[in-house]
Amino acid sequence: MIPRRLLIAVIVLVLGVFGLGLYVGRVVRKVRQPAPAMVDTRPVAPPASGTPVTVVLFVADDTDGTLHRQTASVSLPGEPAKREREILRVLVAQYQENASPHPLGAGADITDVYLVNGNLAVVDANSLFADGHRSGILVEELTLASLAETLAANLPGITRMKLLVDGKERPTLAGHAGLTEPYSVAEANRLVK
Amino acid sequence: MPWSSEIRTPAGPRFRQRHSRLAPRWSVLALSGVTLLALLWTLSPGAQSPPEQRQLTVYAAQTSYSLPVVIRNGKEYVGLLEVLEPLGAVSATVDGRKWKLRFNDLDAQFFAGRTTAKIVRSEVEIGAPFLIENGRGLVPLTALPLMLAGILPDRPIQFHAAARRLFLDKAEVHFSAELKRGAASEIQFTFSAPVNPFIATEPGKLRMVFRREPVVGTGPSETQSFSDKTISSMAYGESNGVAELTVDSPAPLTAFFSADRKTITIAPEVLPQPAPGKGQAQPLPTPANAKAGGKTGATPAVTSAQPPAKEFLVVIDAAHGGADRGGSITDELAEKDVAMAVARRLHNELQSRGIATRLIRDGDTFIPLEQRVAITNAAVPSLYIAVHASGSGAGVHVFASNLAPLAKPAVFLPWDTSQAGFVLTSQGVASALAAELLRRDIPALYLNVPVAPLNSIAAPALAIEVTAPAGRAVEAISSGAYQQSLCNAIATAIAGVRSRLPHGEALP
Repeated sequence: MIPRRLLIAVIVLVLGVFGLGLYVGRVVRKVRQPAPAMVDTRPVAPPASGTPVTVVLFVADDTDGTLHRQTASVSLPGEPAKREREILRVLVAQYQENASPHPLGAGADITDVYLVNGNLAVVDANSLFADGHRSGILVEELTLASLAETLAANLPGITRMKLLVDGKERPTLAGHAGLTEPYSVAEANRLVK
Repeated sequence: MPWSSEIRTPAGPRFRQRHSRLAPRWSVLALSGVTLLALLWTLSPGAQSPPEQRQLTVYAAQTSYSLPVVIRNGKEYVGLLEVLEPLGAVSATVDGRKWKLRFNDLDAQFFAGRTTAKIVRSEVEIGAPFLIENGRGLVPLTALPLMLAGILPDRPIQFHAAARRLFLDKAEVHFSAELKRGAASEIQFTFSAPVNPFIATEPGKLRMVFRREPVVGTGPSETQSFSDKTISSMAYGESNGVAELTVDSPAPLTAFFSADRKTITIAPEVLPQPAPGKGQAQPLPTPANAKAGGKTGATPAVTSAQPPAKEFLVVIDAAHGGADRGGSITDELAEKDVAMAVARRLHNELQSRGIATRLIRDGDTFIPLEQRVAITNAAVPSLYIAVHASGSGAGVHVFASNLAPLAKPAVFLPWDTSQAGFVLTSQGVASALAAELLRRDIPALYLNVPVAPLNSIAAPALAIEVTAPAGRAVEAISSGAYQQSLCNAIATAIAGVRSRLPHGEALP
């Protein structure tokens, strides 16, 4: 006859094994699911102090596939690259509003802008900018065009824009618009309404 | 020797007894531990090898295509709508547990969980429960021929169940093999229709893989050995929707195609002769000097490209595929699937207008962009259309390249700007297509943007991005009626501009 204590121990262990098995199964399933994009809840960097100036934004509209010229009043730092970064952040913030005609994912941000030879702007976006971007030829094209046209409108001489994601080159923005070659401002001009 | 006997204490017997009683408990613990480890190992991702992706290949008179096969309750299932889509006008509606199918003018009804279906007016036993998953009707693969016999009453059907190959309209391509003995023997395969296999060589072996061609042997597999020094054996086999011919040889082999692509000769590779003089250039490999291998009029098979078209041909390229899902239209609907469905409907619509078409991707496979370009440019089509889909927007977005047109015609075109010689025609077609859609009250937007791979296509080329109908939920993008209306408009527009495209002068 099996001692009672031994029987209880075996039952407890078997239950433990199956309980752990179920738990591990759940963990494995959870790991296999694509991780949801982490939402960067950090606040956007505070605007630079100083007298507000009027900047031009070219806002994309998905419904008609065009860029609409708008103006905004913001305080900007003096250094050109930082000015451009702040302007693009204003543009991105506008896309993150509820009623945006061209929504961008939560947490999308422009980390840095570098100016090269006065005609090339290298824009570094965070990973949420690309990972949370909607996939599609039109929507991806409009995002690039909007960034490039806005840069060129506020810093004459910019003719090309290169978009990096987390400081690295990426083949496409979200599966369609190529990022390996700089984006031409002339291409963006065609979309301005 | 029991481990308890190792203990040496003054109270030896008592102590030993206590440890002896503990032994079963330790055994149980050890057993439980082993069970737990086994369970963990079984559930760990590394322990589970990726399952083979099963597929069904359907061969019909006008087309061939592959579809994914899924396992449910230990049985193989396939989506019935996907099977029928390339074969005619088909639509399906879900009404609770009822799944209604309409193919051309025939109706069929299936009920989730039931093993019978009503096809036209007959009750058909399908052998396993019918399943509905996300609106898709899944039928047991084994019952497919019986169901198709009811849905396609006038079309002969042959099903190779073990290899998952379904033949309609007596599409089978038969072959014969002849060994020609000599100093360097060769084996010649003659097919009843032109073929274009994928050819791979490895030490001691040449394999010809037939993914699209309905090549069949006398049985599911056969092997023939030869008492020959050059060609030792040949084998035919079919599995997972693919047929394969293998030739074994101790020498490196090369395949030569006849001009009509009905004959393939496998012969030992002819190594280049040493240059007659230092610095003297070697002749380039051409069909003419390929005769050095003794195959008059044959060309070495180095790619699986089709011969150039001499007719009005539209190449349809369903974007993405395989591991490249494209965008996510919904959580469960991938861009690659919508693009494939639209591409097949467009293929049918164009063919119904007498326009020859070629699908670059006709199944859930990944094809790199460069390969899509190479296939298209080798085919010299009249028009190339890339089909995309998106969950953003409404109607159809039409894109053509924005390259500057060539000032004068050029013989050689750079890879990245091959489209420059055709860009004006492409833009004209894209404009006409958007106009036709708008004329039918389908929202359409036309833009000239550098969509990959349009700039590398050496033919009039455009891309379309299908989105949901205006004012409807994004899920409506997969509606058969909606896709059909789009493809009808696109096909009408292409037929309308035919005369402006290469090889478009002659009426079909």
